[in-house]
Amino acid sequence: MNRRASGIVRSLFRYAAVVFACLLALFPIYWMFSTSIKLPDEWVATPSVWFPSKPVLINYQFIFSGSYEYLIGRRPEEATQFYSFAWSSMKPIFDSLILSTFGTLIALFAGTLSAYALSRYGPKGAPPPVFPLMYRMFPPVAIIVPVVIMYATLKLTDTYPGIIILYSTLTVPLVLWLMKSFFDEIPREIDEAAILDGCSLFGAFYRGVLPLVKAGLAVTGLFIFMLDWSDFMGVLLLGGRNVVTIPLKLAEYTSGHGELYGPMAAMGTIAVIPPLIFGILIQKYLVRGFTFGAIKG
Amino acid sequence: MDLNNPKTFTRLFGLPMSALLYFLGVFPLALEVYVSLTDWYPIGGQQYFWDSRFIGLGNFVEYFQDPLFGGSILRTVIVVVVAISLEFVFGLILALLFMDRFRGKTIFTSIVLLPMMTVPAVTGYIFRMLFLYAGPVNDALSAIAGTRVSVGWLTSAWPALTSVILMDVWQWTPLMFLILLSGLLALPQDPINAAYVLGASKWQAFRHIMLPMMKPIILVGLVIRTMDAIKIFDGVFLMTHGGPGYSTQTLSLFLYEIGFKYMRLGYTAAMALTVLVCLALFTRYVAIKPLKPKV
Repeated sequence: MNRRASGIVRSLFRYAAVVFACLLALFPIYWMFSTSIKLPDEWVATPSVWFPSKPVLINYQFIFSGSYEYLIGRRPEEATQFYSFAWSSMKPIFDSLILSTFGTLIALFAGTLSAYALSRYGPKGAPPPVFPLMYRMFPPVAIIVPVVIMYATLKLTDTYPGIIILYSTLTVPLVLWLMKSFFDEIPREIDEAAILDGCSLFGAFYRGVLPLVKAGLAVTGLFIFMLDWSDFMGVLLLGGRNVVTIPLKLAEYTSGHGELYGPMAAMGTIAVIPPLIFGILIQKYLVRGFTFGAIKG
Repeated sequence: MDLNNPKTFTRLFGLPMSALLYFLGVFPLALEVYVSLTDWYPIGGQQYFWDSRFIGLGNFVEYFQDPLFGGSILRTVIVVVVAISLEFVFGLILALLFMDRFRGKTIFTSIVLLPMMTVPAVTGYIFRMLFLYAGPVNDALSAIAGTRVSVGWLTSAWPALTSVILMDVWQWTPLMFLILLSGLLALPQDPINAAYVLGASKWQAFRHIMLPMMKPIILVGLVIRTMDAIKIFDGVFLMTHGGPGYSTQTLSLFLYEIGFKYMRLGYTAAMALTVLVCLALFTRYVAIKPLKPKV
């Protein structure tokens, strides 16, 4: 009996601790979301408003259409400022999508080929793994000065191809390590059997092994998409006018339009939705992604 | 060209990736070495880097005496050490809580992992809201203390650095948790059971059996987190922009400021090159080892 009681106490304690951790994890996200459905006078108030008195969608409307509800009672110059702000809010979402998608596809293509070569034939042809690892390690800002020079010379600054190449290069090491870990799980006998059946080396890869790592490809793709989608520094340094992603837009608001907490929160909410969905989808593989495939999870 | 020759085949397969890495790696690096030896300052009339004067090691001598460079390194080290220690402790506690099966484990795990999936720049912005003078953090502290607490989190030096650390801890404890959890779950059960049979307490089994066996995984976690924490930029940029004053200016923010606000590109290149060499050595001799055996 005593033993059982202590078991119940222990499990109660565990639940209390787990729920507490979940609340801590959720609270900041909740705060952003709740701000995004608050009326302007509740964005920043003393004491703060923990639960919106009347949930509204005007902040989202403002981002998508530049709703005029905000402009009532504002001075004309303020109104113009707000209007231009709203007008340019759709583009970042579009840009983020385009850049992340193509950046992911190129990195996936280049990295997967290298990973296969590395997994099957050793480090002779492909770049040795420590070299790409260093890429992942360097703060992007430390290599950016010469990249800025190069981009300016090649007219790649602030263009879609320029940023896409940057994203692919920054993430291709991860693709290499991740895909290598997936290829290593496929027995070599598959390749050998395909070659014995008369496949070329390429055929063994394309028809033999690649279909078996489809899930791995999907996981890697989603993971890389999350990273590209989260990028801030890349567009900050090499984009800005033509190419504006969601995080960059957020940064612009904090400096230029400090008081617009509601629309910013709405923008932030939109920004975190895709990575949260993808993250939960590939939850089982997140640890492998973040540890370069070192831990299989 | 014989595609069925393994050598040609691997060369060909490695080509796209090598192209990317050379285009944005090796070539810029060479350029960076040159620029670091000049006093290139575009807004001072030297529009292109070849207009600039060659000053040898001048930049390297200068940054040694630059208190802001040293200060930014010191602040980065403080953030890295404190944040990662906290992440390790909290991550380990969480991993131990989630080690056994219990009802609702899957959904609780998903919730606990949400922070690490959040866009870092957005995290910075969220924490900026949380730590506002009239924000919920001060509210919550007031409720606990019973009187009105008004800490200027973002407006005074140490509180600002604390909030940066807390932001990093919030965002990356889940990763440490995941890594340590997969380590705990992969532990062989026999030695642990043997310890219990021999009369070890839970704490003794954990301290003397489980923790030592987890050492390789712990190293992976620490190395991965160190690699990323050194780069910390996005969140800080949105939350405090390095301020107030220089109190949260980490290495990346400092390089950004000198290079792209003051446009001292030669000087920035010199410091960046030094940072790169140090980190490359760290990767080559420290980081690769824990990652390698499991590659």
